[in-house]
Formats: sequence, structure tokens, C-alpha cells
Amino acid sequence: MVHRKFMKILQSNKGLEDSSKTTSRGFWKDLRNTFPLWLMAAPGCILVFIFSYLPMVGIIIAFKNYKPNLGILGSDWVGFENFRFLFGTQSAWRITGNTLMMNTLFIISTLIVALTLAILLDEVRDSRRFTFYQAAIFFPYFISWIVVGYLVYALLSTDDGVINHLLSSVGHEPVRWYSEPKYWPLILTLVQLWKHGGFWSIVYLAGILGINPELFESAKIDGASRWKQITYITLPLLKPIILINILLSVGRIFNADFGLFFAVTRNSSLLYPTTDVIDTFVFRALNGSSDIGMAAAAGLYQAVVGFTLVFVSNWIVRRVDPEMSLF
Amino acid sequence: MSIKKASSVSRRDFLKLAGTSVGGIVLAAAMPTVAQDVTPTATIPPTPLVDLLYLYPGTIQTDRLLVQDAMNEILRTRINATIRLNTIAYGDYEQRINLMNAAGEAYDLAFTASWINLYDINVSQGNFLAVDDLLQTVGRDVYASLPAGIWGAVRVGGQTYAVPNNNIMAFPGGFYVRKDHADNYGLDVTNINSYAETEAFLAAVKAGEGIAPIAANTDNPCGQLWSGPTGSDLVLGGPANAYTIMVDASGTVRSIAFDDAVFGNSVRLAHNWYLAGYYDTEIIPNEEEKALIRAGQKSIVYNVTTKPGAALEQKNDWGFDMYSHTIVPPTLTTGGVRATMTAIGANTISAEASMGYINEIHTNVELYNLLAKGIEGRHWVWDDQALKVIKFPDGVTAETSGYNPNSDWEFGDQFIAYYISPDQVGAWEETMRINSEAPVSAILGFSFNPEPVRTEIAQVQAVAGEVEVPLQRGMLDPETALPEFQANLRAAGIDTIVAEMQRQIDAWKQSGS
Amino acid sequence: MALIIKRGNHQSNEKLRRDIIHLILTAYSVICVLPFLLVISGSFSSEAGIAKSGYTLVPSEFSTSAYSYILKDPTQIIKAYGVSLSVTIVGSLLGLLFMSMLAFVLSRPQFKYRKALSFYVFFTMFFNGGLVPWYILIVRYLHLKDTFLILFLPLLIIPWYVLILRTSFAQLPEELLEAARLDGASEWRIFHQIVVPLSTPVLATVGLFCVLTFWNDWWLALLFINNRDLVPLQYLLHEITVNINFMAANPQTTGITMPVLPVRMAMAVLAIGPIALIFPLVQRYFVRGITLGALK
Repeated sequence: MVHRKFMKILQSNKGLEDSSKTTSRGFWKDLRNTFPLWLMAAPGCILVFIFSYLPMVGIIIAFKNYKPNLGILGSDWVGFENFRFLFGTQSAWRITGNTLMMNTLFIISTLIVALTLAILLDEVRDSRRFTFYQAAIFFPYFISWIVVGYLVYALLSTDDGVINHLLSSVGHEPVRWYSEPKYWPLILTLVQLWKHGGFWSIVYLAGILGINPELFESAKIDGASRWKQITYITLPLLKPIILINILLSVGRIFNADFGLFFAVTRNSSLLYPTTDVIDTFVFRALNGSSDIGMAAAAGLYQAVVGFTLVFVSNWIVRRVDPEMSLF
Repeated sequence: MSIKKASSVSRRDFLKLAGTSVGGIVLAAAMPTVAQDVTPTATIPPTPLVDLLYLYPGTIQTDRLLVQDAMNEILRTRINATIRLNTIAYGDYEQRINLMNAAGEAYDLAFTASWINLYDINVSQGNFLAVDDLLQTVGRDVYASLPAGIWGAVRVGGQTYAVPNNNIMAFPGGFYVRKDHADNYGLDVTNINSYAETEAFLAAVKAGEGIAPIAANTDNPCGQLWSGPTGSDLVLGGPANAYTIMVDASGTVRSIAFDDAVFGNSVRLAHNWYLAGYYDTEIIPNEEEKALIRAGQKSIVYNVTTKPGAALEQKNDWGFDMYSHTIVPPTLTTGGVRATMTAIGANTISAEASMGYINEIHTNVELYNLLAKGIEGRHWVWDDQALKVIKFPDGVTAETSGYNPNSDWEFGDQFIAYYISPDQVGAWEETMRINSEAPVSAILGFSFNPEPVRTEIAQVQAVAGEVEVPLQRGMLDPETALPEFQANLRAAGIDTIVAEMQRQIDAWKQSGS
Repeated sequence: MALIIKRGNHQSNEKLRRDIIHLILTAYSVICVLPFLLVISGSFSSEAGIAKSGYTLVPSEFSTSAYSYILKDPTQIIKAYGVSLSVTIVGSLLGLLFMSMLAFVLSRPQFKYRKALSFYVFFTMFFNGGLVPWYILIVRYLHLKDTFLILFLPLLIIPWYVLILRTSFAQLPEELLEAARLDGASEWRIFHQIVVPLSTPVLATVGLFCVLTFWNDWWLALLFINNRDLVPLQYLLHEITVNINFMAANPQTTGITMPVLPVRMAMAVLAIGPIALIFPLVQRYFVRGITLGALK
């Protein structure tokens, strides 16, 4: 009974309605009504046009052997030549696999941790404690990856690290962390969570705080436990924002956080089997050569794959529930 | 006035025009008073001054505007121009200047070298002005001040596009070792002829001090124990890359990775030393390594440049007295000549004024030392004027000085710099001797065109980067790792690169450069 | 809030639940804050101290050398703080305003073009022309090099945040907005009198993110600022960092002494400082939504 009641309220609180089918008056006729909306959207749209669309002409650099003195149009067209280096070595599969796998791990783990933190934070009644927790979990975000690298080294250094000291004290052999690739998917995931978990939890917390408190009131009156409240009210109402974040993260799934994979691993090449990603590979390959064409090709490759994945995911979401899709 | 691209009338130009016309009016208004007080000399410029923009990497100094003003007082009278010193943070320099070139932004003077703001790439992109004519006229003095034989190394396609800063150009290679350790643990520096001979010393230090004595960076030097044979020139990759392609004295091109006698042996030796604990257990980032060095945890570093005066410089760096010993005699290479140069931008406001500046900074002792050391009295005082030794004023140290760029090598003629310590006296003469006496590389003046093998180079770099440092430092077992590395290099296309390079060199030799 | 008094069991269950939650949160907070304490301690150490003893909660060798190195030129630092502050304030306010207006439009169900416009905005998240054309556009055609404007203009609209705002606005009860519209309220009034007050938590969140974006940015200064009076704080710190890296890697630049490790720590501390002050301000908005009853 509780369940049905909430479903009804949820239905009425639904988000976007697809009204594009209702009216079919022309753009100009509608303008009187829509003009204020266009006006409000204008600053944003113009800025996006200037700083994102105008430079897009440069995408063709990926297909050219760009020489500054010849300009974008004057440089030679080389087709897919600039992309070759991304696939020509054995590393190509490895970097793609690592990028995909690690980012997938990050998306899932960050979601779980951030949601959990947000829900837990919402339970805190004492405002002073709340402030402390909220600020505290945010702190790691401010520490640069280089400094994070130092701190991780303090933990994982073979000779002096805290972890190895602990291991030896219980009789275990010290581990050469920076030489063993197999531990690093876990290590990097934990580090990433530590740095970004608090950041994302704020987003979900804001979402939770936006939920109409009356819903929780009626649930309590009906005798629903807190856990039931969370699963039947909080989580479903957070679905749109969760889905958006997932979709957007999927769009970035081919782009790795360079600082994490470079600075925290201290660019230890022995770890490359699990930590070498597209971004670090490209950095290494093009280091010292100012080959703008090849750099652009790498970026375009990542963008195309990311966009395709989002497009497909968005299409799937649209089939299930059109209101929740990105576009 | 030199040619300017018609399309690039930039904001800067506009401001300059506006500024100078205002300046002209002010000057005109001021003229009568001046003429009455002072005998007018021919040096008061009737035409607007040219203001040169000079880009170079460095650390931003607090007092740079003061130094700039002092320099301009000299420059105004000497070349009828002033200069604007635009110091860009080292790590950002390459990025910034690449973008400026890409956007066609104008500058007058820029630092260029074989290792940053790459000279040959800039030349192929048309960013620099050809200065052959200027060197015979306005740049007469600087042309004469440099050894005649080096100009071949600067020419590309028969023309000269930059002026080398007079500096060490033939780099001797060897090691630095801490004086106290060397003395205490029985290392007779002068009797060492190869890195392998220091093994007993390493064992003694490890036993006595309990440290891993070898200092190494993540790039260069990374602890590698090989050196190119005398007379060889590195054409692709550097002294710390494991794939480095070099040309030996006979003109043959090969990659060091396949030279078992040199590279193979060095890797096997490094492996033994790693197992014995002479290297750090892990690869440590450069700044942490520096911290270890200054904290006294390191003894010796291999494969460094042992130029005259190096021991003193290293003392500042390490914080301990050092010995410096040469193992590989110097060769005059293209990379060495191009290690530090000043170029004139293709869009310069005035080529004459720019070359005039270069001429001055190479010959005018007062001007050079302003730029390199700062203002007398404020940033330095005489220690021994006869020997030309200076020191910090009382109460000022290297950290607190408002102007201490410590980058003499970037500017003009380092051999006219004042010495910073009595120990350094004589270093300039000795360096000049090395420059003039060193054997010359077989391919001095050759520039490799990477275009045909761009992809292969990127692939080789990526592949090599995976194992270079651990391999050369002995962290991997050479029995398996070396053949695997060689196979990967082959798969990435190193033979293609070598063949292409050989082809280009043979063609270059044919054309009789 | 009145406690619902039920059986004694329930109350102690409540307490247990509360305690577990506090335990988890406290543990997590400690993991987050502890490293930062190490960073602060490291910033007050000498380099030798860190090299020999590692990172400790109390510096093994106390020293302010890192801070004296960074703050060598106080006037420059103060100017940089000023620049960063102004850029952050102007940028965050403008950015929040423009983005929320845009998000509002994208959330209006009767706006026919919202899907197309959404695509217009979000497409840019994936495809961009690259650094060079963007640089050329700004320097050569917009002439924005060395201006105050360029320090925030390109960062005003961040599609990800627009999307978060849109999703949040779209979840507001449509009857409420519809009722206002039928009452004759203009879209603008609906926006600032209904949507904004109801969305304070998410606006505070995005506002905070904007503040962080502007405060942390050094990239724009790197590319476009030569005038030392327009250099923001983070860029100054960035310069120190790259110089550290460079000098450690290049033998020509020896002799410039800098206590590298503590300096890195000190930079982290200096970077956070003001942001930590923002937090209490933002906290105020993290409150449960106003009940609809009150609005009606």
C-alpha cells in the first residue's frame, strides 16, 4: 500500500514532458511566447558558440600535417596518417583496455560511494557535525595529484612505506608496490574515490535535499522504516541525476585523468600493463615533437568513441524512459 | 625595416604606434629645456625608439624591471632601441611559444636550442629570420667572437637562423662524486677510465654509509652507464633514451639498443649494481632525488657534463664539495653548438635593432652582466675586481636576492661573465680551449627531417618509454628484457627510421655541406 | 523535530543506527583530513627533514623555508590574490546566472526546442577543435590576450553543470509552475521567484563548483597573460611547480636552491586557504527544501 501511494506521487512529480508533438505552430509565430526564454538562454548559447563552436573548425587538424606557417587550410591533407601511431604498436590494445576498464571501475565505485555518503550525510541532524563531515570529505579534492603521489608513496614505498612496515610487523614479506602492476587497478580506484567521492556526494546530497519533505512525512506516518524510505523515495527521485551523471561519465570514458595515472604511479613504467592509458601513451609518444596533427588525432579519436558511447547509451535510456535522456 | 606579414597588424603594433607617437610629442615638448641644460649629443634619438620583445625561459625575478631599465639606458645609446624582458616559466616556455608561433604573434628575440623550442622545427616552420647578412653588418662583432668552425652547425639549408650563445659546445662526459666520500672510501678520481672501475668504491660506500650511492633522475641522467663512442653524434633521442640513434665518426647510423658491446654491457653491469643495492630500489621523481642528495643520501652520479667549473656548480646544487672527472672526451656536435641560441623572430619589428641587441649582449661586458647577474651594489658587489670575481652583497643570499636568474648560459657570451667565486677563475679560458680543440662530429650541420617517419618515431618513443629507465638502471633482467626490448623496437619501426636517416645523411654528404 | 516515541526497542535501534552512521562518517572524514594534516606539517618542514623522516604529523625539522621561498615577493602574491578573488567572484556570479538561466529554459516542457538546444550545448563536451584554433580565435580575432575578461569568459558555461541544473529544475512540481503561468507570471518571474528559491541546494552546489573552477584555474593565465599584474594566484604557484620539475630534470639550471618538497606542500596549503572560508557560506544553502505548502 505504501508502495502504490508513493508511485502516484512520483508520477505527478515527473520531470520533462515531451510536448513537441502537441503544437506545430511555426517558430516565428511562437516567438512572442518563446522570446523571453530565448533571451534567458542567449548569454549561455552565445558563449558556447564563441568558445566551443567557432574553434571547431580545427577538428580537421587531425587529418592534416599541420604546420603553423601554412595555417590550418594550407597544411597538407594526410587522411588517417596521424592516427596510425595510436594503433601501430602492441600497446594499442592495452591502453584502450586499461582506459575503458579503469574508467568503468571509477564510474561504478564513485557512484556507490558518493550516493552512500550523501544518504548518510542526510541522516545527520546536528548541523555542526554535518558541516564538519561535509567539509572534511571535500578536502581531498583540493590536493593536487602530485602531492597525492607523494602521500601514496609514503604509504607504498618499498623500503619506508607505512604499508610495508605493517606487513613486516605481521611477518609478511614487503611488497614492491611500484613494480607490480596487478595491485594498481585497486590502488588507483581507491585513490580516485578518496579524491572525488566527497565532491560527487555533494551533488547527490543537493538532490536529496530537494526532495519534498512531505513525502517522507507521509511515509513515516504510514510506518515505513528509514531504509524503506530511502529505497522507495530517495533513490527513485535521484534516478534522473544519477542517470545524467552516468551518461556523462560514459561520454568521458575514453579520457583518463592524466594526473592520476601519471603522478600517482610516478610514471613507473613497470606498472604500465595496468596503468598505461591513452592519455599517458600519447603524452609519451609525442613528447618533444610539436606534432599538433597527431595530438589532434588522439583527441579526436577519444572524442568520437566517447560520443558514440553516449549516443548509444542515451538511445537505450530513451527507449526505457524518454524523460531521463540527455537529448 | 624587415618584412612583416601584412595580415598580422596586431594589437601590440597598434599600441606601440599609439605609444610612440605620444612619446614623440612628449619628447618634442621636452626638447627646449633639455637643449638648454645639456649639450645635445648625437645620441638623443630624433626618431621613435624601437622596443624589442625578448622571450626566454627562466624563473621570474622580482627586480627584473629594474634590471631592464638599467639595460635600456645602455641600449638606448648604443643601438637606439630598448628591450622588454619577457621571462616565461621554464616548463611553460615551449607551450607558450609554440602557440604564439601557431597564431602568428610577433616577437623580436627568442631563446631556441636543440632541446627546447626546437631550432630545426622552428626553422622548418619559418618562424625565424635568416641572419647571414646581418651577421656581416650589424652583427660583425658577435660573428667574430664565435669560433669560425661552429657556424656550419647552425646552418640549415645553407642559411643561418640563430646566433649561438658563446658557451661550452663540446661536452665532456663523466661523473661527479662527493669529495668526502671519495677521500674516505678510497676513490682515486684521476685514475678512473670507465664507470665500471668505480665498483669497489660503490661497495665501500654502501657498506660504510648504508645508502644507495648512485643518484639518478627519471630522465637524464637516469643512471645509464653507456656513452656514445668519441666522435659520435646523437641524432634521435638523448643520452638517456635506450633507443638513441647515433652517427659514429665514420658516418654510419645505428641505434644504441642493438650495440651489445656498449649498451648490452652497460645494462648487465647496471643489473648487477642494482641487485647489490647501489641504485634506489624504486624510480624516484627528480625533486625527491634532489632532496635525498641534499640530505646527504647520495654519493655519485654518472653520465653528466664535466665541463670546467662543474664541480663548483655542483657544490651549490648538492651542498657538498665535489670532484668532477671526465671519462668521455668532448666532441663538437651539432646538438652542442645548438645547445643555447638566440633567434630573431620572422615578424620582428626591426631586424637591425634585434641583431644590434645580440651584438651588444655578446660583447658589452656591462650589459651582459646586468642581464646575467643584476645591478652592481644591489645584487652583487666586487670580491676581487682584478680577477673579475663578484659576490652577493652583505645580507643577501641566493634565495633572498631580488635578481639571481643563475642562467648565464642562456644569454650572450658566457665568457665575459664575472666569476662568482675565486675557484671559478680560469674556467672560461679552459672552456674556450675545449671548444676549439675538440674533434668535430662527422655530421656537423646536418639536420634530420623527421617528416617521412613521424609515426614510427612516435611509436618508438612510446615503446621505448615503457622500459628505458628500469632497463638502464638495472631493474630488469637483461637476459630477457633486452631481447624483448629490441624486438619491440623493431616492431615499432626503428629500422625504418635508421634507414631513412642514413639516406638523408648520405644525401647531405653528397651535396657537399 | 519531535521524536516519535514507540517501543523502547525502536529507540535503541535508532541510537544504534545513528551511532553506526556517525562512526562511518567520522572514519571517512579522518581518512580525508589526515593526509591534509600531513601536507600542512610537511609545508612547515625543512627538505632534509622530509627526506630523512618522511611525512609526519609533526614536522621532524621545523622550518618556514618553503613559505619564505614562495612569499618572497609579497606584493606579487597580494596582487595575485586580488586577481584570483575578483575573477572568482565575477566569474562565479555570472556563470551561475547564465548557466541557471540556460538550464531553466532547457527544462521548460513547453519549449519546443529544448531537446535540440540541449544537444547544441552538450555536443561541445565531446568535440572541440583543439588548442590551436581556440588560441588563435582568442588572440587574433577576439583580441582578448592580456585582458581581465579572458580569465573567466571561456569558463562561464560548463555543460556538465548546466545539465545538473536542468535535471534538478525539471524535477520541480510542474503544477506549481503551471499555476504561476496561468496567473500571468512571466518566464523570468517564474525563474527567479519560484525556481531559484526552491533550488537553493543545487544552486549552491553548482555555485561552489564554479568557485572552485575559477579559483583553481591557471591554464588561462598560462596561455594568455603576460602582464604580471593580471596573474592569478594559482598561476604563480603553477610557475613554481613547473620550474621545480624543469630544474630538477635539466642540468644547466643547477644552483637554484629551492626546498622542493615542502614548497609543494606549502602551495597546496596556500591554494586551499580561501576556499576553506567559502564553505561556511555555502553551508547555509544546504537545507531541506521549503515545503510546498508554505509557497502556496
